[in-house]
Amino acid sequence: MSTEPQGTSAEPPMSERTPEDQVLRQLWRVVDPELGMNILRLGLVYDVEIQEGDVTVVMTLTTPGCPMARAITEGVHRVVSDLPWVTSTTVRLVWEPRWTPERIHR
Amino acid sequence: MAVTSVSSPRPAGAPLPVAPEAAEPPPFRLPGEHFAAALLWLGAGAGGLVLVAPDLAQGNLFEPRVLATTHAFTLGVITTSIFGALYQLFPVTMGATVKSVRLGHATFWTLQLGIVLLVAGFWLQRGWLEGAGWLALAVALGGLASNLVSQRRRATQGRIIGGYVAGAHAALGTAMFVAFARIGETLGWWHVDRLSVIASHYHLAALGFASLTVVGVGSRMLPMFLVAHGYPEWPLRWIGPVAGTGMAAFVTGQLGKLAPLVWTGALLMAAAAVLHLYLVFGYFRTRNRRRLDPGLAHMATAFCSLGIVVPAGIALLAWPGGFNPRGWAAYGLIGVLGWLVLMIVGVYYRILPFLTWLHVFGPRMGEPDLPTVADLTRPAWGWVSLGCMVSGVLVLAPAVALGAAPAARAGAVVYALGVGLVLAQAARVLALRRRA
Repeated sequence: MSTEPQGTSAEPPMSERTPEDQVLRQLWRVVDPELGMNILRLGLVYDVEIQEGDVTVVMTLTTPGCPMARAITEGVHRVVSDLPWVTSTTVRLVWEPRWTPERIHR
Repeated sequence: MAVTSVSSPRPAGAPLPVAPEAAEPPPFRLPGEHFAAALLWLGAGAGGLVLVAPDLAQGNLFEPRVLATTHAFTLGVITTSIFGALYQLFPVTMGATVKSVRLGHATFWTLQLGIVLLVAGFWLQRGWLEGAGWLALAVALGGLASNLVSQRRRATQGRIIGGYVAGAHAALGTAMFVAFARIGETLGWWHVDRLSVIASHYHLAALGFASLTVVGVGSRMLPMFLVAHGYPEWPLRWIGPVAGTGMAAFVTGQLGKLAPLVWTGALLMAAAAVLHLYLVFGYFRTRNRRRLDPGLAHMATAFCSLGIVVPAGIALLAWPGGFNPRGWAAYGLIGVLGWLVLMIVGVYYRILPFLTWLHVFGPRMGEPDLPTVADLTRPAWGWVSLGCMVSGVLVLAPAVALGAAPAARAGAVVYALGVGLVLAQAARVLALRRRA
């Protein structure tokens, strides 16, 4: 699956998109302010699991000691929780596999 | 739903190991007051430099105002910045946080009291003020060591960085012990060889404390700033031991008047610096952030200064005419202003906007149209300040070495203009934070 949410001039309204696409669209909004790139393009998101209204985002950061860790994970939590059908959001931070610049979608 | 393919030797479906919780950094006020004080000292040091530049050009290395200005930079700017940065970085890089924020504030004020007393003692030629300042500095160093550096035992990661920070603080303690020998002489308690003591003190402080901290902390910060991957890491394991052995030999040789030991120490310290430059070259070579911003350019230029100061030091040691005061003054200027202060200014260009962004916009992450960290600064000011500071040192150091007092003062004025722009940029960024 592409990490870029599909957008056309004739986009369906938010409520008609799949839950997966809705979550991706929300994650697209979380931008690393240092690199000026959103976390999907950076390849930081490894997995998104959806069970009913429970969403788990498995992600990493560019470096284990990233001082932006809290802001980014809280941002992910906030944007996903904004979706009306989401009842709980979990952000799971992992260091394996380690992030490398090859993960950036150029 | 798999968003990206995760290649891993784990069985299918096995969960990825969760990252350990990062330790919480102390409130921004603690590192923030260090940064603010260091920037004020930068302004004071630049002003002092303009006044003492002609003295330096006359080779008056030990003129009281020269010593006062030197310590405004070394203690006021470099040490205060390092203490503040450690409070911020220790938790995120090592997973170990400060024991007591209140003790951290007390340590900060004791440090500032010590610097003020010491600088005033030098300027006014009052030995008892120097002694009182030294005492306050020793208490401040002990406060930081017990409050933060000792916490490395609890570190969950970054043990090599912790080793560098601990080694650097041991060197600072030794530098202070050596300085005490000099102050005791000023007070008439005993006699020491002034040149040997000052040479030992300078190298313990500049190389042992400040440079080893740059190596350790930089091993985490620089790859992060440059988005560097795949660089050789082996020099990091060698720089500390080689530099430590070199310093021990150099100081023993200086104080014991053993020339072969002085040379062994100097060559080992030079080797450690070359290893550091090789490590840093790897960071820059493998960086994914191709375009350097003003902060990174300040740091890159600082490393160039390190590349100049090492052969300059060896050449001065081999100088056929013996002690060359103007040459050593130029060496000290490049080491303090060109290498360490420029490095710290570069770090400020990165971390002040970063921390401001985190405070002002961090809670709004995910909202549309948020600025990036780079949007908070004016790059043009950064480039001009870099140009002024570098050209200032490039004029000042040769002018001092050649004994050209007017040119030395002109270089100091240009350097001070660069510092003025640094302060204006920092005030602008910090004002954003205050408005928020």
